[in-house]
Amino acid sequence: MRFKEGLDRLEAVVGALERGDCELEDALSAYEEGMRLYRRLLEILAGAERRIEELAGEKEGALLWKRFQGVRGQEETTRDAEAP
Amino acid sequence: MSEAAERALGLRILTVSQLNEQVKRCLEERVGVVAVAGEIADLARPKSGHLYFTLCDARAQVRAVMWRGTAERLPFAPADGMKIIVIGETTVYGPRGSYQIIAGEIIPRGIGELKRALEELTRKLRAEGLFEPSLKQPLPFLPLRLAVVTSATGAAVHDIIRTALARFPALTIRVLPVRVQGAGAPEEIVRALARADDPAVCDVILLGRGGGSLEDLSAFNVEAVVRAVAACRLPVVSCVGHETDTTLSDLVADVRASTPTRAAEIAVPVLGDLLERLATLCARAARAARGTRDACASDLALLAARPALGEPDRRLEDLGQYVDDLASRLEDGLCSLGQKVYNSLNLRVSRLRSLNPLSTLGRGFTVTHDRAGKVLRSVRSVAPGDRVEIRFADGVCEAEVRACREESLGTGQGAVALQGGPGPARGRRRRP
Repeated sequence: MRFKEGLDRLEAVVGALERGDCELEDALSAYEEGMRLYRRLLEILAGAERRIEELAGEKEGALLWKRFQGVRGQEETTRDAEAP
Repeated sequence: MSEAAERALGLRILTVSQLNEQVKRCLEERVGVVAVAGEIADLARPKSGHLYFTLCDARAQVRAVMWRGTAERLPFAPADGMKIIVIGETTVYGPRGSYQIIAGEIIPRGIGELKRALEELTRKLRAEGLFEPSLKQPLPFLPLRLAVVTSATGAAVHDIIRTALARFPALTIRVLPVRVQGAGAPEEIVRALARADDPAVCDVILLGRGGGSLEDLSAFNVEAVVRAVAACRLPVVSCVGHETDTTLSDLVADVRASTPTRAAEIAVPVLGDLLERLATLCARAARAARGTRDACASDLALLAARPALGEPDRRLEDLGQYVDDLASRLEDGLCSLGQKVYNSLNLRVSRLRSLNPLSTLGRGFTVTHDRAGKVLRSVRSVAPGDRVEIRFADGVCEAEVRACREESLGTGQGAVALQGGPGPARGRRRRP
């Protein structure tokens, strides 16, 4: 599931719940679907990781990446500048 | 024999090398440094990085070379057909016996010249339909991987990384370093775009550089670059130059951003906004489900008496505060934030879950159905002797109504009297 699809579906489920024209049983299952979607969407966000890379070359058609140096250098400079 | 020949001719016989050496010396001393106007043809830039081209006018031509170190500092991308002035030294290239100019500088012949060529190319590409709005692709809603095609040393790459991570701290950003101006820049940009344009590499491509003159930005107006941008299957956000600069690459990109910072803002959503949106949806779902349940329950007052179910605004305030709190932590730039966000949100999920109508059953509420499965909302819909089903959190029991008594809402006790007798003599426990 892509994030946007899940979000659209969650909006639809909540919209249906809010219209309140369904039976309790349907509302309960809609609520459960909403919570499942909600949790799944959070998992997508939580599953993202920070990686800053730069292209280091190509080997047999596969791209090789290395850690991007610019950012690290900059952070170090900042820390140094803040050190007493 | 050669001495005999020399005597016969009255000339000294030279080797080819000696001849070329003499011509070279003559050329360097007598002609020396020149400034020559002409048009570029046969432009070549092999792996060595040196720039080779022919400078020609209507009737004549001369070979020229610009060494790598000089070529790299050119403020624009030379191209075939471009009218230029070359300033350089004349010399002889011995191995070929040809003379050439070692270009120390190449000046485009007037900004007017560049502009005219640009207008021509614009007309041509427009006629081909390359700028059609129908070709624009929408950007992905949540691109977790960005490819950035720009100079590794310019301000643009730092602006993009800083802005993107401030908005969403757990991104994969892949920088494909390229020269963005001077000889070789167009080729490098084309190659980098081809490499980045792979769903296994990224979700969206950001292409750009900081501001500059028309010459500085010329690589982004080179036809091959413009076509490479247009050919990308993944969406491309371009950010070449500053507010007022527009290149053909900008025109063919799916989205045009005025600056690199703005490109990152357009491409990357704010994590805090997404979390807030999700939390709001979750709160709305809980409230709506509760509303449905309330409508189904026959005693509103009883529910209102439970503090955890009241004050929905308070809960939204909690969420708002939570998101603010989160935003400040995002600014700390914690790399492991993803996990922390998840953990703290997981906590939030379980707190909200306590408002789930199903878990309310767990706290002692029950839902009563008739035997057809229809939820009973009113004491008037049952009569003594009716068989009903009472749903608990952990199961259902069948019961028979012994007596009915109508009471006004708010006393809070009537419904309990009706539903609170889950163990009539003839009730039979059944596991769902």
